[in-house]
Amino acid sequence: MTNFAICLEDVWLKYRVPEETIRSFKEFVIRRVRGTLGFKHFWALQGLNLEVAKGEVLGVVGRNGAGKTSLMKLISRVVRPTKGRVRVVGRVAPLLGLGAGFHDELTGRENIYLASAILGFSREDVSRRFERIVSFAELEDFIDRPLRTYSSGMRARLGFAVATDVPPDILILDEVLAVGDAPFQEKCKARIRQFRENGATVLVVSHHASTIQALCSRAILLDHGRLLFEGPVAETLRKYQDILAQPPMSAAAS
Amino acid sequence: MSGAFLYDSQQQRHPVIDAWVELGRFRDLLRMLVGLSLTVRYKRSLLGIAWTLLNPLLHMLVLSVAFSTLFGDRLPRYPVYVLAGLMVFEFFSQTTTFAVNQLTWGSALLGRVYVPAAVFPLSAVGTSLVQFGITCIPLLLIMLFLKNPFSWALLFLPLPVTLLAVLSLGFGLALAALALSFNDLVNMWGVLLRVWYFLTPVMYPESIIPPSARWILVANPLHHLLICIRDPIYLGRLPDPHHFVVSAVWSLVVGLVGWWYFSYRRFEFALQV
Repeated sequence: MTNFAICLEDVWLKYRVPEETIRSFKEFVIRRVRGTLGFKHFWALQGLNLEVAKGEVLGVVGRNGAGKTSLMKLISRVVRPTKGRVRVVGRVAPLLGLGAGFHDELTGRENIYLASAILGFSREDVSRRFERIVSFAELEDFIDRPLRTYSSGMRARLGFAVATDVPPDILILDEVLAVGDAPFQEKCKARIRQFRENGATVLVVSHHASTIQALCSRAILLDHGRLLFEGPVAETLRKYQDILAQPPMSAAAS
Repeated sequence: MSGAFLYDSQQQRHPVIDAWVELGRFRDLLRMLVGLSLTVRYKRSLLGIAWTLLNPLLHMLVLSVAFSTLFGDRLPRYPVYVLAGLMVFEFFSQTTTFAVNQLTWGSALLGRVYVPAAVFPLSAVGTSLVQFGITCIPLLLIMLFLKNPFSWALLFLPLPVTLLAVLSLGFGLALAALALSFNDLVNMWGVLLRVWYFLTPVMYPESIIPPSARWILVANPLHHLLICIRDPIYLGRLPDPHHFVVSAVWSLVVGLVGWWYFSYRRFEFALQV
């Protein structure tokens, strides 16, 4: 079969952004009547070609607005490309959404079920894995308390434990490893290392050169929605430094 | 889960169909969201889920005290008349507003995890259906107490209630999709609902509407649905078929348009966040 985990062929992604942020319907109607309602089409990704092999650990760098998040959204199926083709083999664990499915009034226990359901797991499946999730998050004593009493570290632990309990085929790390205290971070890193050893593909999105260097075998550099460079980590990071030194250009818009 | 699972953006179903198919996989989430909204809303309140019952009952009580003498001649067993009407209108207003709330909560997820966005408005419908079912118990007790006729026509009820659910879902989907772009829409909807409530014969008899204003009733889908649901309960007879046909057409059209519009904008939600 295929030997890639992620394959993007000539991918274009268009955002439709209003020229000014209109947040009220009243304003929208007024502008529509006046005829001053305009939309900008913003190409977040422009003809991106990328192949990530199974088991590869790929770093993604680029300035703000370079298209890193758009790339992640395409891979996690949240958006579809405007043009081009995206293929993904396997289950994607979106670590960029840690704790997004939590509800403050619910207990930790109920939140585990809720967040898992959002990830598409069935209730009985979660019941079977429940104890393991709780013990990884080290929340045995707090599991029946409402989430609003949790500290932010505890929430992050719970989020990570739920999202990574079933080994994913593709893991997206988006600046999330700053969760919990140092021992817990070590635990997260160990778990990610274990996924890698078992052949999972990992995408690391980070501004920190050190994180990319420590984890990745290859890196890509995005700028203005285009793939500027693709290659060994050290070289990509050097190019990235060059770009950062340049004065920022205005956003590509048509 | 196996690694053979392949996602190909070029072989995806049309978003309108895809939203429907994907819901099957997220049944558990839907069930859970319904359970949550029934319990969480009252989690820190003294009476808990009893509020579900108390709200329409108190409403009915106030209206009965105020209007029983005024409308009593034309509407004997007024509490039954009012409660049946309130249940229909509350279903509609609650579902549509709650659909917006649910999607607003869920919108934080849509840009990150692949979730069929329609589960959020759908869970609002599920919640209202459960509440409707619960409120049937006091309704039955009041009917017994006031010696309201019981008839086989009651068995017809699931049909118009389903239509009511579809109509509410259609409005809820469209409203929720719009409300993500326009913050003030929810407030405007609240005002509109209030006006709508007074234009629908929930607490007064239809006959007080002068002939010159009858077109308001004819144009109001909730009026037709109200009759389809209230006639079997209050009068113990099947509604006039034309009300049922009009209700069905309204529900199907609004339901489909709402679904279409919502699933069409689904990928925009993800980009906005």
